[in-house]
Amino acid sequence: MTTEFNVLPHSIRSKEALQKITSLDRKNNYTIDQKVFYPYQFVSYHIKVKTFLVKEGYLGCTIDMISGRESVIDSKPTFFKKTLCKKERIQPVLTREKAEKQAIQYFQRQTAKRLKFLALPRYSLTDSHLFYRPYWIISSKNHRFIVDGLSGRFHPLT
Amino acid sequence: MDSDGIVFIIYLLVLMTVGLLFTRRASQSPDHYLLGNRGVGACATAMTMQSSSMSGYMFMGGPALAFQHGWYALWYAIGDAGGAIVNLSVLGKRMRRMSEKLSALSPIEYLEKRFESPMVRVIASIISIIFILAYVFAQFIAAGKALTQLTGFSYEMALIIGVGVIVIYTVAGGYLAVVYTDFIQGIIMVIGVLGISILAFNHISFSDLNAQLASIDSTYLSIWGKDLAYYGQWGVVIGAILIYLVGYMGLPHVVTRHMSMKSTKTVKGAIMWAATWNQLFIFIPYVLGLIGIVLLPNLSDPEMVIPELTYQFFPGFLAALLLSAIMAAIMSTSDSLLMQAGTILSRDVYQRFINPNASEKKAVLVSRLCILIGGLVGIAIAIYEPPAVAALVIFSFGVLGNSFLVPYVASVYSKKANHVGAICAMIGGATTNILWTTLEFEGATGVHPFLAGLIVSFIGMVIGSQFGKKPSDKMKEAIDDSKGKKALPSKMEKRIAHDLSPESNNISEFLANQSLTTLKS
Repeated sequence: MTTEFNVLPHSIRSKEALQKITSLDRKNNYTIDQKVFYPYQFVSYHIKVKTFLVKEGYLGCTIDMISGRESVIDSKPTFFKKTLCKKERIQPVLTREKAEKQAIQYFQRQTAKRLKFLALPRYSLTDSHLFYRPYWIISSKNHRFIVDGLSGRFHPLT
Repeated sequence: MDSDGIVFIIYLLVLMTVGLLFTRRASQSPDHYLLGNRGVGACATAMTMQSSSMSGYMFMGGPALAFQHGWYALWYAIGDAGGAIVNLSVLGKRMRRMSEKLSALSPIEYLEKRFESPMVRVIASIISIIFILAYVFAQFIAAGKALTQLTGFSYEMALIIGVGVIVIYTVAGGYLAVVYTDFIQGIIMVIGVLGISILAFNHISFSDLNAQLASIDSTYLSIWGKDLAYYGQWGVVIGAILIYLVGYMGLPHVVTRHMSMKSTKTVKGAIMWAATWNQLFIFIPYVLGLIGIVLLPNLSDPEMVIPELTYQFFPGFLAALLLSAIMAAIMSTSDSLLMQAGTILSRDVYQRFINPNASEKKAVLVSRLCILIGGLVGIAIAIYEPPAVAALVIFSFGVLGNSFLVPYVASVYSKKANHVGAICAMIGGATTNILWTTLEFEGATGVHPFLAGLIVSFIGMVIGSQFGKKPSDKMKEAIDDSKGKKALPSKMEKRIAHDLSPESNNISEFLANQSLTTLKS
């Protein structure tokens, strides 16, 4: 089954990903196996705090839709629509609602730590999108890696 | 029947029910019946491994040794306490990978496939059948003795009841029944010894124990045994430690636990569970043997030190708990041994040499029949001539360990080890242990039979592997693969983006599921 999804455009092509791994380990013969699309939710909130002076602004983060890990993001990523089949994309485990709730909790933790507000901030959701990030799967006889299709950073597969 | 007898009968019924619950799953295929479809988790692996390893010896032989020799007996406990950690760490992951790669369902079949010789299987089958059965008969004798003493049944009746239950649930439920009844029994064994030890130390404190032992005979406190029987004999002491520290790696019914684990990741958790269980369980029976020297000075049968202590000093519910704990130790070992004997007879003898084209259904039926026959012969022999449990257990354990420890370890660590080496190691180790024990060389040489057998087995493997056909390239490659992932180059290691670890885990799982789906379709 194929459907259109928001996807981050990859800046690292398969050859570059392969080159990156091969340059670090010349003893093993690596090949590209496939590309896997990993789900994240981009969530952005408008935050407003009433203290002596009213403070407000926008906060955005991404939520890993499988393990629920949050990461701060500076600006809204640019997506493009792409048809993805079931074999190349991982199905999200978290729901959109859960991800948005988790993002608020994350912002609360961050703001409590850094800004030390006396009043409780008010959050209003401004943006929430499911998107997929591409990872290259590269393997040799002895090892297997994921290579991030945007940054080229890599991690061995367990 | 007393209340303790009723509690015990309920306990037996629970075990039988658990066993029978697995009947359907066990009948699916030989893989399900013999290895639980390689899906046993960390905690269950650890508990079944440990409760199968700790037999009736721990409630009878071990305390008897401490009763007769004093603190010297603790050498055995020290080795035993680390046995599971050594066993799982050395063999666990590699053997799990290798056995799956070779599609081996029994530890003897594994040896044939790894050493690429049917002769290895023939010799291994003969040695293991003889000594596994001797080992299981010792357990039956222990079961009969314990039940007779504790329930008042006749020895024959006690044997038939105790062994009958084991045979029924093993025949019906196969390996999974053994694993999960072992799990329950492992918990009962720990609760039993902890309960008894708490009450025992209410009667005599630790410092009083040593003072009173010294007043009876100061050599009870010596590391060399009563009357300094083993004075200066480091060969005996090292053998006493080694037999249970490394010996489990040579026991087919224990090694099977590596093959049935869910995955190599199970090993780490299993080590934690097994190590914790060991520290709670192993030392106490020996210490209770020491307490018996003080509290039971006129005891005629040293093997009954724990039952006597319980019945004289803490009757009632604890007596029932003790009975269940002793029987748990005996039954958890007996079922694994019977299961192993049945597996070897059906898989390594019947399916391999008599009827290679047997259907899966027939293979499971033959396994069940072999276990049933093994159980019935065991009852008959145990009734006919009951020797001392401790002596028979140490002897069978030693011979099995000396025969198979070196071949199993070499099978995953050495690319040079071949079939000639394996045959020399098995025959050399077994013969040395048998001769050393029967001709009583230990006294003359100051070397424990297990240590002597281990040295000869090792030399046999090294020298024997110089002759005959070398392992094939395919096998060398399999040994390399069984080591798991090779270390990454250091410059690569330094650049790993560790924050991608959750993604990496989840993608791994996704890919694994994907390949599983592809395989199924």
